Amino acid sequence: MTIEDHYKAIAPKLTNWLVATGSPYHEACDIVQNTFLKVWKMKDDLRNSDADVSGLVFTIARNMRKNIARDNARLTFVPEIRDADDSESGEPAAQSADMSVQPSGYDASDADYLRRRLTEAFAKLPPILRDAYTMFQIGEMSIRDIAAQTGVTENLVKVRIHRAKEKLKEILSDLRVTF
Amino acid sequence: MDININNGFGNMSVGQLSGGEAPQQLNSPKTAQQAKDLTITEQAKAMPIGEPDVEDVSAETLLRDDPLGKLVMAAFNLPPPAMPDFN
Repeated sequence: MTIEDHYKAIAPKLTNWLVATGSPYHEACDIVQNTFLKVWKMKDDLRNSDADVSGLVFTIARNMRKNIARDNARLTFVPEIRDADDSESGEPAAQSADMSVQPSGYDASDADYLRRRLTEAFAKLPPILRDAYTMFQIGEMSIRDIAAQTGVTENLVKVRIHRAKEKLKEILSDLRVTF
Repeated sequence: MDININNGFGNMSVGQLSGGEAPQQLNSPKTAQQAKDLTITEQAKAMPIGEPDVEDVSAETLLRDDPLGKLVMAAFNLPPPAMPDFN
């Protein structure tokens, strides 16, 4: 398969997986493109091996997102310092509470509403359950690949998917969908 | 058999007094037990607590097109970004 073939097969899943697990869409798109450019640079190494390209792509994307989150954390540290300075000078501390994301009403579109509800529900799952379920359902990865990615047995991956589904049904019970 | 002699400078074995090396302690029962304990500890660390993988999971769990799965697929159907120029 060419890199273009891999892109067509994996990029849609990866984009949606990144969004489902917390990345804004524009950031997900950047990560997807940069991930594939990185994979493309490795094409000579991949050509003569049976490497699991899908697993590699997800690993690179996940690491890129971690780096972005780390950089963002550094950036948000600056206002926190300023807040402390403000409070020492008698000024009211900057309204850090406003920096937290507050639901501002759902978008009219059903898909947007569902996406937001599901993203919130995924965020409530323990990370190990969230990873297993989203990789399986949205990333469309095989149980074997998820096990390799997460370093656990295939049976434990199945258990985690099962538990994630049960919790999601509970969290989303108000949607009145017959699960 | 190892003979210990107290010569005023702490206990030394006959081997050490005659210029030989101190007897190896690695195979003593105490150390072997410690090694065994360490192995068990490492195994315990590797095993996720409260996550037995012996639970039976039905085949239905592994369906992607169950009602929840359909909901997820309907919501997460975003278009991917344009393909980068790989040339």
